[in-house]
Amino acid sequence: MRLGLSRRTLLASAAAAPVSLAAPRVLAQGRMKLVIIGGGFGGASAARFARDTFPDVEVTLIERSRTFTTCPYGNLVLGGMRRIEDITFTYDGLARRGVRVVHDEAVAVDASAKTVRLRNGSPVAYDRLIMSPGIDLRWGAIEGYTEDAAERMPHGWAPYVQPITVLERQLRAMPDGGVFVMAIPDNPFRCPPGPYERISMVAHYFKQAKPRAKILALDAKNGFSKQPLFQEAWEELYPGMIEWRGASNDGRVVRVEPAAMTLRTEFGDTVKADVANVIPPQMAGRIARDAGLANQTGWCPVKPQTFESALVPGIHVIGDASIAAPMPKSGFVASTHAKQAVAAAVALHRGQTPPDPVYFNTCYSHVGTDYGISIVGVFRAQGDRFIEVPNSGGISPRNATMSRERKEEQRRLEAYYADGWYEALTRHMFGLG
Amino acid sequence: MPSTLLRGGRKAAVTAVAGLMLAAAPAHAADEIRVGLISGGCVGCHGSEGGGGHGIPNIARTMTRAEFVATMKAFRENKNNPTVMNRIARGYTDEEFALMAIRWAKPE
Repeated sequence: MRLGLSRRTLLASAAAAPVSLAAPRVLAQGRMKLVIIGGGFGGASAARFARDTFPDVEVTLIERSRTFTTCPYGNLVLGGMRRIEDITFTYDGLARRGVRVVHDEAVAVDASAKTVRLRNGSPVAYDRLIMSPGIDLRWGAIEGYTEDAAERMPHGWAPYVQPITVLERQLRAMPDGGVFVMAIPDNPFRCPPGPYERISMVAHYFKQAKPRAKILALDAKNGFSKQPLFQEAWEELYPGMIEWRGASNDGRVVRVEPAAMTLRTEFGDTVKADVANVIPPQMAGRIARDAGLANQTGWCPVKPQTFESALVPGIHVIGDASIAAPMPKSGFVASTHAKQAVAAAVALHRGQTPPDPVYFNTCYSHVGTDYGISIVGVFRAQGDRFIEVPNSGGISPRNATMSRERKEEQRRLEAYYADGWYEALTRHMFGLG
Repeated sequence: MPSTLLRGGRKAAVTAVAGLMLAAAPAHAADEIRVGLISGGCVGCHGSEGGGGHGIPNIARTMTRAEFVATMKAFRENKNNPTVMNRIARGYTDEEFALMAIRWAKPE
């Protein structure tokens, strides 16, 4: 009904003022320029959806790297279940489908002139801009955790800053009986279940290669995504190997000393690590902050119907950089932000009402061999907020609710489906199928 | 591509989403976009063409529209031994199931 009304309103206004209103719109419709910054889960999905859905729109994707290594399944590299090549993609598939892929770095956005300035090439003009800049790490937020410190104590949380193989090599070189320490940040951060899948995958590797090794997880919060499922699985698969310490149990790391390989907690405990994985606090990627799209939190507020920035008109900010709670910062949900943002951007450019959004997340974690768990969520816009649809979504059923056989079957199936989910999502966004 | 199925499915699309279609003719394009957006969630696991893989079922033209919608409604009630589909189906409306069916079910 809203669509019909808006169309009638538009037609009426066009009829009333044919020259001043209608003419520029018709011209603009000729070849809308949609420009996307960032070729991750959000940006690549936006490019694919725009190309498939709007043949009359010019789609440009600006991405500095020629290859993209996914964060999802990076933990499986640590677990020895995947190689880095298996989770690395190019943009050739998108280019073959007619996306103009520009491998250059977007260094500034002029929102009034509607142009993106590149490090090397000439500026790119846009009618609407979709920004999917991902995250930057907050160096120094944990005292002593600088870019140099990250060589000694890898984060493995942003593949374009540091490949997961840095941490992988350290784990492989660690002696049996060593201690692997993780520092995990408070919310919000990229991939809420990610640190706990990482604990699981490292435990999976230790169980085979270094059975006397231990894992100590120091967490800046008191609870985490899929917590009961992870903790049940750890007890079952890796008994005695993993200790998780939450914030109220002095889990928050406030300082690191890379030379001594020590981590200091909030209440003064000093922990010595053989291998340390420090996942620091995060913020929206730099181009978004430089363009004035982030607020004082370091993240970007957006309008829930369209993902258009609440601060700068004409720019849609999607994925991890956006403030979209209760949605998690996940690759899958970014791909659904992307589609809505593209549809909304085109509608707004054409003076139409954007469609009502439905956002959707499915996120699998591997915990061990043939052992997978999941969380799903369906989200909608309600006024100036995002809401999760009541009584929907949630995590895989827990032990207590099923027979042992039924549970084993569920976990086995979810591990299998996880591989299908990863393959389907990556093939789609990179235009491979 | 959505448009292939939509060509055959336009009439049913109008029926399925009658509540939104009071303005009739001009809203067709907008509706095709809605089909693309709603079924875009399915693509994340079932693949661009719905073919599935790794045990994830093929949903491309394996059901009639009515069967597709009935399957989704049954998932809401935890029927058919679901792992994730029950949790997902509870987040969508009947009208959205009908839009998904336009994309995935056999052309009618």
